[in-house]
Amino acid sequence: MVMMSRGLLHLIMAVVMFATMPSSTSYKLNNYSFGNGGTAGSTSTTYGLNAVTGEQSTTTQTGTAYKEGSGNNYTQNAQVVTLTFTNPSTYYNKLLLVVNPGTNASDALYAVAISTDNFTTTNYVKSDNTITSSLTYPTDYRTYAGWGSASGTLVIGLIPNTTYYVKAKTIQGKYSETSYGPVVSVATSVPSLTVGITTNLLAVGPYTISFGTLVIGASNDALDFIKITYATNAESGGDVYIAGQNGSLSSARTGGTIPSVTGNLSSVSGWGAQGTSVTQSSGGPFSVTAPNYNGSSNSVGQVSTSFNSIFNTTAPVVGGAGSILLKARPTNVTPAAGDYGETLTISAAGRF
Amino acid sequence: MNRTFAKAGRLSLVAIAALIMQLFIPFLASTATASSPNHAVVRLDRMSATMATGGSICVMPQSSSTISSVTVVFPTTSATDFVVNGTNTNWTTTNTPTSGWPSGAVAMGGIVTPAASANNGTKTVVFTTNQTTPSTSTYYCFNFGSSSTLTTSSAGATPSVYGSVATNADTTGAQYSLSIVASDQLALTATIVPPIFTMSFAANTDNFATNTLALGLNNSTGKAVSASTNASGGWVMWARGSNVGTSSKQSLKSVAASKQIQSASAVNTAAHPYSAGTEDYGISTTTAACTSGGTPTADPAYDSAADTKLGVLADNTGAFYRVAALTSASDTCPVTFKFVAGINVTTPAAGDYTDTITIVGAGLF
Repeated sequence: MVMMSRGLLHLIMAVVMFATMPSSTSYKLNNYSFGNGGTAGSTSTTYGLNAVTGEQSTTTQTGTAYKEGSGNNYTQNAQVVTLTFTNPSTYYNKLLLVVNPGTNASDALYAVAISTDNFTTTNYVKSDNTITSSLTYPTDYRTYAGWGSASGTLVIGLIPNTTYYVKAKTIQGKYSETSYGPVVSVATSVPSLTVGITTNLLAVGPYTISFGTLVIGASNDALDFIKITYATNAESGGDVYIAGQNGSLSSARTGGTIPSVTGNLSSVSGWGAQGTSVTQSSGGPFSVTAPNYNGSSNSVGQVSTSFNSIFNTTAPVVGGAGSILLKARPTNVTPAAGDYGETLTISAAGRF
Repeated sequence: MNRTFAKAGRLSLVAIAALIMQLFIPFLASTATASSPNHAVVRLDRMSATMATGGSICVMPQSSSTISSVTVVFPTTSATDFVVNGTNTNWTTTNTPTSGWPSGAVAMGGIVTPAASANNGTKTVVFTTNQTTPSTSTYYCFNFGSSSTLTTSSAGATPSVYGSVATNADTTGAQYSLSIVASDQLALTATIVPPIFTMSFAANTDNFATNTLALGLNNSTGKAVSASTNASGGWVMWARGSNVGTSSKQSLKSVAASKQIQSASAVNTAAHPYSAGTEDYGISTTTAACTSGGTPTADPAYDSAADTKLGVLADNTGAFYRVAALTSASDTCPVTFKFVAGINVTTPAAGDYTDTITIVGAGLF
């Protein structure tokens, strides 16, 4: 004789009763299923589920943007959501996602799927705005406000030069979830850095900058100046660097030198560079690097044999531009010569 | 028998529980997260087209895992391409200088020189490192040399494959961009620093300490003549006397006494000490440090630091002889001249003994 626990016996009995109940001598339910029963999760501050009337059919009314279970009566159902997906600033590793909530209630939750192959494979946007291979409820679902409202959210950690596809679905409470809405797509840009080097007199190289005749005991401005243009979409901006071959103006004939210094040539001798006239079309700002190169009047920064940043930006910049002035002050014992010279090199990088 | 049946009951419960669990599996947390990529900076020392160059590599990791390797992929371009030298031993690395790194960057810990591998086919160079517990807000950098390592592409070439910097913890890596230009250098020139040579005289007259010469050696008070020049070869001073004397020697001359006091020594021979009881006449020179550029040297024929010697200049009919010099550009270099006269009991008395020396100088440009 089989013995079993009381609880198991009750469970089995319930199953048996359910399987056999819907009929009597005068009626029989030909078809039945569980409907939307229960009260937990069926209401919120903005909607409520009125009643369960059962399903007349197991089929559903479906369209490309909605699915409706017939026979159910909803006070408020989750509405399929659309997305706006853009690359507003030539981002190479992120894109801007804006949820368009439509008539969904403010406490509706949205989950976003993302793909690089139009959903042959599917990933999801995580709560930290990176991409994950699986969707976690409720962590990765957010309200409209949680998705940044009208300003949207930047999806980060993306691959440059890649088209991304996104779609979203909505949940209202635990019993109302839509299918995914329409797919939209946009591409990340390629990482870019563009630098231009000219002088005020020369649009193409080889470039020369002349001091002319130096007045001893006074600061002399070079007759020409260097013009730099800089543009990058690097996430953290970047720098323009300057270096000298010798670290000094040197005369091969006499061996005389005018060393490059950081200081005020109103009172000290030497030569150096001063950044000035910085501008940008957008982003940035494109700035002169402090403290050595952003002086005024006769204050200059050293041009050593090592590269030093003379311009910088901490954010992407379009149309960045600046000028480099060169100043020199020889001493009265700087050997007289006509062949003082130095070779300057410009370098640049983006902080991607 | 009761134990067997109880066991059967527990097994049935487990099966039912398993069935129920399957209803909830989709709602259980099961998160697989993709790692965030690094940030990277690649700076080349030369941005000119088709130029051999070294540079700097920087990584800002997005995890605190030890960075044990850095893999750098250089771009592939459609025009003249970047060339990665495939000899890994050429790819030497250093941690200095640091001025060409982003602000706040630090040296990559444990960077090994040379690189572990280099491949031009894949434009890939792998560096071995050992940066433990890196900060996710710090760039870790190192430099690579320019000798037979990387050659830049043609100017403005568009990459077909972008460069990237990956680590052992982030194998996808961060893509970066470079800007290659036609010319990244400027020639700076100063056409001339004008030649300068100046001499200044503290005074144009110098008297003996007393108007009456004593028997023996007498020195004038001395007056300085200062030279300044930016001539790379320095400067020279020369001098000669004005009175025409015997044997073309300078002399201290009295018209009233028709007397010329002269030295027994020859012109421009080594400065000599005074011999007591004799007549003697000449000059002595001393020098002092310049305000810049060194200390001039008095010529041995006239050098008398202790005022005990004198040398003989030529007279107006003779040559200028060098009295002092300095071999470098210098500023305000004093040379002190003294007249030196020795008389004895036979020297005629007179009140008009006089001499003028002419001092000239030149810079050696």
